[in-house]
Amino acid sequence: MINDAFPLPKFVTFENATIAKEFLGVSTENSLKVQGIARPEDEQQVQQLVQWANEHEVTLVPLSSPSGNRRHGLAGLKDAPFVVLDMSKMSRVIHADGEDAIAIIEPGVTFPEFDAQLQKHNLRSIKPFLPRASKSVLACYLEREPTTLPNEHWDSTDPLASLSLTMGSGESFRTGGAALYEDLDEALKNGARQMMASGPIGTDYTRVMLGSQGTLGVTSWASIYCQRIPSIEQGFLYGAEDVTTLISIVRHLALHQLGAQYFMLSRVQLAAALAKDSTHFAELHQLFGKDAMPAWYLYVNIASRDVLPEESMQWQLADLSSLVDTLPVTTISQQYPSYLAELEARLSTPSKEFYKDVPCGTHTEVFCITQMSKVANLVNLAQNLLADLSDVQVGFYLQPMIQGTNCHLDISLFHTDEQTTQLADIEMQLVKVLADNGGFFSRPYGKWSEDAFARNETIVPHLRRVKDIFDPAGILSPGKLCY
Amino acid sequence: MSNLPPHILKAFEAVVGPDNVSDEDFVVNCHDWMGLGADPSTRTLLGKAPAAVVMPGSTEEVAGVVKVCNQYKLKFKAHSTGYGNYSGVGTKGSISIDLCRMKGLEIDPESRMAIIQPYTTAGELVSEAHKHQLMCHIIGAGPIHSPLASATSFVGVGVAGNHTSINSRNMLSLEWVTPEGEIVRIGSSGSDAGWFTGEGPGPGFRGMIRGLYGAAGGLGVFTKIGIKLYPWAGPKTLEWSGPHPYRGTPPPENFATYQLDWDNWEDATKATQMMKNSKAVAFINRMPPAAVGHCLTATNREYYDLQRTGKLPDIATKANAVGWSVTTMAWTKAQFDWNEAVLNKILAETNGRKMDISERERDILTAAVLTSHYVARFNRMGDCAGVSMGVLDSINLIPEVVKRTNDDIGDKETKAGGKMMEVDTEQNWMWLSEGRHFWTENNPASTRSFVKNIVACVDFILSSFISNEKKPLGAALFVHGEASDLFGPKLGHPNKWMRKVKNTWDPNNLSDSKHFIQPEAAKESKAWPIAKKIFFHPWGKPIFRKILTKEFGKDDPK
Repeated sequence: MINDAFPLPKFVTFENATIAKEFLGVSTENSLKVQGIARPEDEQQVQQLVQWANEHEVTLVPLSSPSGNRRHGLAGLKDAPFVVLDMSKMSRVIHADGEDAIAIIEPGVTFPEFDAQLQKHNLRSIKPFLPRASKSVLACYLEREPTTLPNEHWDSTDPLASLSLTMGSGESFRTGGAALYEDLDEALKNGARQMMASGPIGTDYTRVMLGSQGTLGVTSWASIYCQRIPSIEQGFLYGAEDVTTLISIVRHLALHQLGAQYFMLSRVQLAAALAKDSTHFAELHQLFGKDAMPAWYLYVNIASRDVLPEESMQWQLADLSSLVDTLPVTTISQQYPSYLAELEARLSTPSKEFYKDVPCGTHTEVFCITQMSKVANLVNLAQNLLADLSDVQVGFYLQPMIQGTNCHLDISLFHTDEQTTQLADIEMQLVKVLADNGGFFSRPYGKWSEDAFARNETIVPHLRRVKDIFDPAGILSPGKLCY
Repeated sequence: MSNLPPHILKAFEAVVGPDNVSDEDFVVNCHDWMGLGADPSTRTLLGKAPAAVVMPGSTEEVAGVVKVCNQYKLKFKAHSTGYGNYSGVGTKGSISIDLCRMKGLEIDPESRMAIIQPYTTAGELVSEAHKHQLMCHIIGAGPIHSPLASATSFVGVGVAGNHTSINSRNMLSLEWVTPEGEIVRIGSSGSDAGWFTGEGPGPGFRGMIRGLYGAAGGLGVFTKIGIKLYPWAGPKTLEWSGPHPYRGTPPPENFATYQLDWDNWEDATKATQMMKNSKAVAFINRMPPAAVGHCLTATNREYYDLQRTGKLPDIATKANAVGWSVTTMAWTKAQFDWNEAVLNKILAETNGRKMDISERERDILTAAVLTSHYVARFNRMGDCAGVSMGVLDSINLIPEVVKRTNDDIGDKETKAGGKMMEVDTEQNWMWLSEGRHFWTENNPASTRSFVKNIVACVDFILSSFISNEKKPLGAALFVHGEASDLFGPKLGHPNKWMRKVKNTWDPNNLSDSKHFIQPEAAKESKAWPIAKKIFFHPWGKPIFRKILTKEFGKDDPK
């Protein structure tokens, strides 16, 4: 614990609890036991700080986004004093390579900053669905947030490759290709691009760190796959009454490896994605009902290939049409081109406010992963459970992952601050219904983790051993998971 | 017969039934021979026969067998289809847990995946997958290999990797019997949600026990996995052409196979980047010309006669030193035509060309990449050496990787045409992976019949590791086992963390593999930093070779 018995570290900027609370976006009256905020500026400072925390038994909670509503960063923490480890001052895009479509960044880099740098290399970031502008790119990937480019999602580690880590013990470690050179500049000069996630030898700690919610180690930089910007691309927004119709198109896209971005939204979720503010959301919601818009939407972006791009568009569009034309599908992008244009603008340029908070001020969300063959049933079960909710709008976002092998199911309840408490029970009921029927909570935040680990008790002692190996003093984010 | 006491044999029989336990000589000695060579020596057997072979039929029986091993402090090692020396037990007298009774296979076409057990072969899996417009990754060991073993335990790369990745990355949820006999399901299957993901809840635990190389049986037994499948635009059943053993696969409708050729690797690399970024080529791999020659011939005699008389086809000679075998795959005629046009444009812009190949050669190249049917044939030249560099890094490193393997590592003893091998180019097997990076293994062949060849091989392997340590060109993959302690320090000490894992999950050191880290570092590893400076200095090498010659000479029956 921080007290007068030992000096605060001088090798790093350290600020008091008031400033820490401001950073966390909570009021000074909030009972959160935050003791201060440390702001390292390079990897050496991170390592020194973690070693200092070990020496003085100080709990550190690493956070990377420079600002904004921290949805998961504090969820589940033990009710005990802690120091925020603010990684947002480390915000360099260290390197980008357009030919290999890979970049190296620090944790504080946000999507708009990243894209601005990548554009010079004819690249853009691979994004999750509508991140807020202040969201840390690296934090998104470390949390295994699904991205909207499922065909480029080969494995759950993507788009991350190598990491440069400080373990909870204070020791440094580099994963994958980053382990080959001690000096990153020398590696880059010699043409090494840190493209491998796994390794070295019998280790695969990129995979271990992902999903660990900052409980095992702190990442100082990482190599990240990006998307080459296509010379031609065309988006489509299809609508259908039955989500299974759109799922059949998704299967085709995955099998034929067509399309760059694609995902599915319910009508409410589409309105939330397009809404500029709560009034606009209400208007869109009403308008969609008046125009008898379909219940479900599939966004697909067909992108040209590098050589003979026009011709590549022709055969891809023909292949897509060969299926879509046979299905009960409405091409919304033809009927209402403005909706498509607005959605694409949102997809490429993150907004300041997180889109889920726009409709009603705040939201409750539950998400899990499942299989394409099970997701329609889970949607039905959730709709049944939530059917009687009044004054709450419910939206669904379905994101195919890992080239169609998995599907992320994201259910949002858009509501006001006052309704938050009363929805806590329904949130956990939803978790249970999904988990009972093939939904897997691979990223269990806060209260969800109790249910998730109760369903696989055998893994718990093994994860605790992992914690003991990487963070033997237990200084990193205790309580967030099963340790 | 082994010296295993009867009561221990009875304990195994109680778990798996008397028909599934044997300590008969003919059984245990069969488990001492693993096809792809023994440890570096002139021996053809490992010299490490297990005390008994136990064949469980279920995960619960595997756990039961492991618990018996723990009870009597017996070492054990899992065995699936058994391709190379790494399949054998690590220590003479261990228990070989032969998983041949566990051959479950279930395809889930809607989720593009399968659920398999250890003795399901890649040949069986791909045959079933084709019926659903899917295919699996097949590693270099060919259709006989166990995809579960390659995914959970050992490397997992193969020539079709541009389209089908690496089996360690294709693995989804997994079932593991720990070295102490506990059954643990990792990922979604642990929560009874299915076998579709290996990560969570929370951290990706499998990264502790799999790694880049795999524990090769040094961390318990894997009994069931979900595995990702890939799109297959071909027919439900592959067509085969030609008489055995020249069997080939005519490219299916909307597929095409070519042997492409350039004057230098700089042009070829430029073309490779273009092919990668266009996504017009599904499969892209390079077999060194001598390996192509062994695919096209039925026997060593046939190859030797054609080579000596200069009658090998061009693709099996130096004329094909710089090139790729490519196979395109399309779902429609329009896509097929675009693939063709893209390939022609890339060749025109990079001074490349399509080599003239016969239909038979084309079909054999197609079979080689689609099924890995022929990869193992290069072992006909001999075996022993195998190193890698350029692993999973930028394609732009290719020219330097080839130069390094051709010039820098080889000296009079080990280069092509030297004591180790008699072929006319370096032996880099290369392929693209995931449309992102590339893989290469330099696999120069050598007969193991003579001590001088073994010595040249060991010299070559260590020299290449040292060279890659000085200036890395991607990971040197085949650093493993005790070599982890020699080369780990320059990689940020993964050996230290691997040892923590080994000692945490296998506290009795019973999971018996010499291809994984050992509980304690060998004494030699402490001397290695100085020894390598002495023995790999030009004046020190003759001394090193003398020491090796003496050491390996002990095994030489001649």
